[in-house]
Amino acid sequence: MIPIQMEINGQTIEMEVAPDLSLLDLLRAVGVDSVKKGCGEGDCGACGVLLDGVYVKSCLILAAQASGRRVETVESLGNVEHPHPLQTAFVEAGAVQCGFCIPSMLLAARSVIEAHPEPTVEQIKEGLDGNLCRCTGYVKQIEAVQTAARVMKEEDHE
Amino acid sequence: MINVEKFVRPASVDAAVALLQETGSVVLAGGTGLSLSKDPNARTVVDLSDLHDLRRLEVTGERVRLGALVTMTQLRHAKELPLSLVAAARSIGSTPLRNVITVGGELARGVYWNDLPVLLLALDAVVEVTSAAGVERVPVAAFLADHPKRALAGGKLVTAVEFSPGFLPMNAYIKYARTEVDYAICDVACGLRVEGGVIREARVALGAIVPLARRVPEAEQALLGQPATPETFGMAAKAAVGAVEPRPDFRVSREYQRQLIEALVRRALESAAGPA
Repeated sequence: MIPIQMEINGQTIEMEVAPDLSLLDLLRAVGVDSVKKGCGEGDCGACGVLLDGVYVKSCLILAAQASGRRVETVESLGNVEHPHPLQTAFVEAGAVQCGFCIPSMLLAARSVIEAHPEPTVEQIKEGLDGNLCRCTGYVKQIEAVQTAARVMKEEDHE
Repeated sequence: MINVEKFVRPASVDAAVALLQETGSVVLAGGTGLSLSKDPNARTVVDLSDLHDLRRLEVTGERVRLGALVTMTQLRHAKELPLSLVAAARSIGSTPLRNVITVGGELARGVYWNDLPVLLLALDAVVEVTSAAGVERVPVAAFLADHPKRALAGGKLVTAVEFSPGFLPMNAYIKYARTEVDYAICDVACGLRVEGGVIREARVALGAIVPLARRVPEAEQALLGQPATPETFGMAAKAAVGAVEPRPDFRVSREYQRQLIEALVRRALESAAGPA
């Protein structure tokens, strides 16, 4: 067993893990179940998290590898009472159907807007290219990211 | 990872290569390959996360140096690199994978779907390999020729890749896959130096359609000393088809693979040479 410590959504945890435990399985074991296990091998993108601010697939990151680092999941974005502009835009655009891919996709979308405050459709497509959504066909999600980017820019100016 | 007992994060390259001397040590860079590994011989994971010097991408005068931990995302957004290298980095995986996949991992892994080595062959890059005995500089073609595992046997670590953009200033990369995020069916890269309309240096490399990325000397020979014209490129493309035995691939037929090689080598050469 390997001793690790990391910050998950602002809370520091310390525990011992098996060397082959993935960050995904660790997160779900400690109750962060917005992070989904779809394929478990890096294809579907439902397990995306921000690791030190960088969007990664947590099924391919070892828990021990993430030790000493900062992990953020969709819980760090917003909640029902105080949704993030991305969450509002996804709901209003009809970009969410079954919802399984959405927590991860919102984090991918946040990375897109951080890198490109006024993202083009191409930049959004590239930023979301690691996320499979089997319901929507992506059109509404691209619109939602554009809407959220506009809202965030306006909020910045206020 | 089934028999791993130790997980260590060395603070220096020297400490890392010392750890790699131990039997059963495996290197962890981005983790996309290793994290799903079922290798029963892996006992100690040597996590390179703290070797921050290896994340540096340096362009000094005539030389580009990519640290082994430079990610595909860093390459994809770099301003001062050949466009073919940016395109190759962009073609690999998807954004969250590019955020972690490293230059060193692309080279050391030695699987047919590694795209970056194909382009590095066309740029005539050199791999910097560090071991407890010191630093070696191995041309990427030699590094791949046997298999990276053999080139790195005995606890060696890829620490950087270097190339001179001016040596083969006209270069191109094409990845052919079913979707943007799928593994390649065929990768082609080429690099040319043309003086007075005549081809003086040429590299043609293939990947994915062969078991491991390799140069195609027969195609290069067909280019050397010839005028940089569509006719010459067509001849080189035909030479490439005759020189290579495609890897069996359930997605495509052998006949299709041969046509792909010809079409893509020709297109890559035409693209490298630019508008006539």
